[in-house]
Amino acid sequence: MERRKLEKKMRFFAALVVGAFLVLIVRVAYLQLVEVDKYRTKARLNHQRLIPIAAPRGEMIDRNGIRVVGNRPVYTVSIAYLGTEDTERVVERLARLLIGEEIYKGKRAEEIEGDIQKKIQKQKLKLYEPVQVAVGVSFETVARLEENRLDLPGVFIDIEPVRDYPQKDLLAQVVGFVREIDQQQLEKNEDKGYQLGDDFGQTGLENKYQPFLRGQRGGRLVEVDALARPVRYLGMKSPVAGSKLVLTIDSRLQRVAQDALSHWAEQARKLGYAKIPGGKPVTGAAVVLNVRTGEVLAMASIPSYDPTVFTRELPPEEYQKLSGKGVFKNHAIEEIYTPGSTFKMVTATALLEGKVSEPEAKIYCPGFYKGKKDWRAHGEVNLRKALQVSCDTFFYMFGIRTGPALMGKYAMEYGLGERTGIDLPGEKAGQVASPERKKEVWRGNLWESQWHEYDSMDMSIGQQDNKFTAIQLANYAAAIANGGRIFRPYLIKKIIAPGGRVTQKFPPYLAREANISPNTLQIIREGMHMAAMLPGGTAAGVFAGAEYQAAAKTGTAEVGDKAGNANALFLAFAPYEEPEVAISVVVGYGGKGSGIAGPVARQILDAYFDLQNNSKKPNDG
Amino acid sequence: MRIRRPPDFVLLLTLLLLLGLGIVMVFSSTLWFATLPPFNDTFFFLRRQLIWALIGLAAMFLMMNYDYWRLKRWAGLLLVCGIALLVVVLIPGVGVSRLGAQRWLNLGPLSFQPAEFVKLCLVVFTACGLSRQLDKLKNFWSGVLPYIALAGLSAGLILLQPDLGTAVTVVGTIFIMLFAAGVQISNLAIVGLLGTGAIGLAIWHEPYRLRRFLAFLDPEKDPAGAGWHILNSLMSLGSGGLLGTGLGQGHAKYLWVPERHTDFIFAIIGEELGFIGAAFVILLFILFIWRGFRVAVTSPDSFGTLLAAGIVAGIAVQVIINIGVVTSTLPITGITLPFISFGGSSLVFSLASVGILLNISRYSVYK
Repeated sequence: MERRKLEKKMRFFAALVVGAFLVLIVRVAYLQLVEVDKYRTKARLNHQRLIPIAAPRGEMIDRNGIRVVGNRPVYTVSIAYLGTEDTERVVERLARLLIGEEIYKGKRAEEIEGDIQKKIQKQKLKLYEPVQVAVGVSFETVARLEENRLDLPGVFIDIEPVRDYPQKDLLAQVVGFVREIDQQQLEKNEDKGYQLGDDFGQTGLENKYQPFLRGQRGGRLVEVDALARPVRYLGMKSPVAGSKLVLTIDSRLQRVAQDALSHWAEQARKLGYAKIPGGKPVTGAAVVLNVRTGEVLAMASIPSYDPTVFTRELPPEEYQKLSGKGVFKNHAIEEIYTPGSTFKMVTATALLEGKVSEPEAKIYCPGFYKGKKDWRAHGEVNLRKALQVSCDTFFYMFGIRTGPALMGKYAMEYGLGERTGIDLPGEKAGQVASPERKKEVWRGNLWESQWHEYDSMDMSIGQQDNKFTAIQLANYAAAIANGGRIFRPYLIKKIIAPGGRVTQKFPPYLAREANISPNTLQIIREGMHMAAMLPGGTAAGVFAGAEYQAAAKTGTAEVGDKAGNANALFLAFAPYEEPEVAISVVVGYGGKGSGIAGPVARQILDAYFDLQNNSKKPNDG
Repeated sequence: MRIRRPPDFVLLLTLLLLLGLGIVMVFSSTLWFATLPPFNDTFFFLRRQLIWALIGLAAMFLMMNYDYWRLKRWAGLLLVCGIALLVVVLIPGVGVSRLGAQRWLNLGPLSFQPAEFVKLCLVVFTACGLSRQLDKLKNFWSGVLPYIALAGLSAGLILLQPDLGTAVTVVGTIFIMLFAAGVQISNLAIVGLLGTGAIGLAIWHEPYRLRRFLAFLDPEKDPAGAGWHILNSLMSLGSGGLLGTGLGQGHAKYLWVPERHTDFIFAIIGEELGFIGAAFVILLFILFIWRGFRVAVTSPDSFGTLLAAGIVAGIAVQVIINIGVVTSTLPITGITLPFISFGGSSLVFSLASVGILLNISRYSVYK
């Protein structure tokens, strides 16, 4: 036998095999010793997930500490992408378990499945971040999901804070709403650490104070298995809540203002004053200011809604529907209204300050002037009485002599036609009538582009092209009441950090003092007082039986449409002697200043003094 | 004159080390998997592996004391039985399918993989046949072709299951034996080329094999699909570093690496025990194979030599393929790591073959 040959071959083979093994050792060494960092990084990225923990946004409380906007914890369900096949299977099971959930109300399993798939599709670019499929899931469903946990790989159940509106529609437009940050906002705030899916204040205070309200996101670092089921907990960074806003608003007064406004707007429709086609809602606003500080005590806007809709899934169609109704618009600052007779204090100021007339000068009102009808024949009328009875003839006559320049100048002195600077986004500036504006509007029309006598007459009673916001009108009433001081209205008194430390305080801000003599203002206040308190005053009916002394001015402003609609306006301040609050009420197409807007102001003032007395009582003993 | 002595203790010790390490790693790699349905039992795989190891050790001691030349008597019969079983397992309803492959026969509570049995039978038969006609091997038709044909037939049947890894091992082992026995290289080269062509065809024919093969060339191309095995295997092996994450502390077991307790257990070893652990395992195998070849060389007769060479070659080929696949040195094909991977038949027959090897070592003639 060729023993030696065999042995040689064996050794050759042994060498070959050992050689192969050495190659493998070198390969293992290369992978484990040279490329180790690369693979460790890869492994960490693959195996670890930072599950973000949303931070609660800052709350908002009113001046008395009553919560207007808070947060409540809700269960959320998210799903991680596990590859098409597995995800489809899990989504199918998940959909069946989510039947009957609020956000999928009335939907069949297949429809829910479709909805979830759509959401996953949307996030295709960031596959490793879980996709939220349901917010505000009921406890029963959570229990059911937990039972089926092992059949639902990649499904996470978390607790997240969502906005809570304990007072429903109260202050809805001022507060604004929160939605997921959009692409534009994301780009604009790139450097501030925002991520897709973060909450972002879209309107109102939520938007204006976004940097304060926003908290700092925390996170839970977990190791997951290949089906994204958490297997090991690696650590956690606690979220930090946002700062709390203390509002100047008195929520009780706000409630009264809001309810009164919507009640009387509805009345206007019922009584046929408001002739609005096609079931469109009546719009309007009511603003209550502290005349000594500029604090906004109440700011109501109609039509209103309950922002709780934003804490659930809000489909685009439904958002469009609500938006079309105008419920998101704050009509106190974002809408301009023809002021009508509430402008007459401007005309009065102009003619006194411009020395066009003596305060006591009298005219005779036959019920018409130069082809324009007054709403009634007032007989002998002086300035105070003209304000009391809202005599157009008086203002026609003096309006012509005062002229648009003087009237415009004093409108501006009161801050009309310019933004008040309130701490809300989207405030409109309004517009003061002027020959220049008319020329612009009627460009090309030889006759109408000129300013005529009748334009001065129109302007003097607040028609022509005058259009102001409710907040401007309230600030104008406040300036009359407080002796010509123009404050910048504000809604936030202070900002409190999560620990309780006050990080910012906002004192009253005096924007400027109107260049109007105290005497003039006194005469105007007297006229407004007579309008509210003396028989024959246009607002006397409104304040019948009131236990306080108010001063007021009504306005019924034609909007110039074919249906003959008119805005209902009402300005007031009280108490007459030592004014504390000023109010403006506007009901678009409300028809009657004293009949529709007036009662709103009355209810607000009654409530204001009631609250004053009640809060004093405990101190009295 | 044959004198029976104690077996090669170095070989035995090496084997026991590998076996023990394997049991520990099977437990570690299934720590998470075993707790999921349908197992719901942390010790599910550990318990089974222990039972199989005991059966395997019993078989090994049996074979260690059964004189190897007596196997000649059974070689033909056993091979016929084995090939018959390979056919039986393919019959729908008889063979048991798992993960898309029909490889198992059910024997009450246990299941049995005929391919593992055939592998051993073929080695015994080939060693027996070649040792009888060492002088005829120059003749290709009568001396070589029958063995190649038998190996080809077995490998073909195994491929139908399909089980490419075992088929390649079988063919590779018989080739090494033929070469060791003195068959001319030129003859083997021609058959080798034909065989490579056949494997190429097998790859080309089955879309999943082609996908795996292409994934081996560029795993990043389809990281969630065909590249998943390779990427995750490399990720866990590579992240082990020098010292590893520590026993039981790895990530791969959380289903990241597929077949983590069977074909890819080496990745878990590399991750948890680091380069030190991985290199230790490879060195143990080198030691085992070196001692195995030594047994072959010192065997008193050519049957013993060829039998020992065949057994060692089979294990060596399997280890090289397995570690080659895990380290992405070779394209993906499923095969267990001998003595370490979880698995019943493969463990029992591997241990039985080591028993034969140890028996041969008892008759070593030293110079």
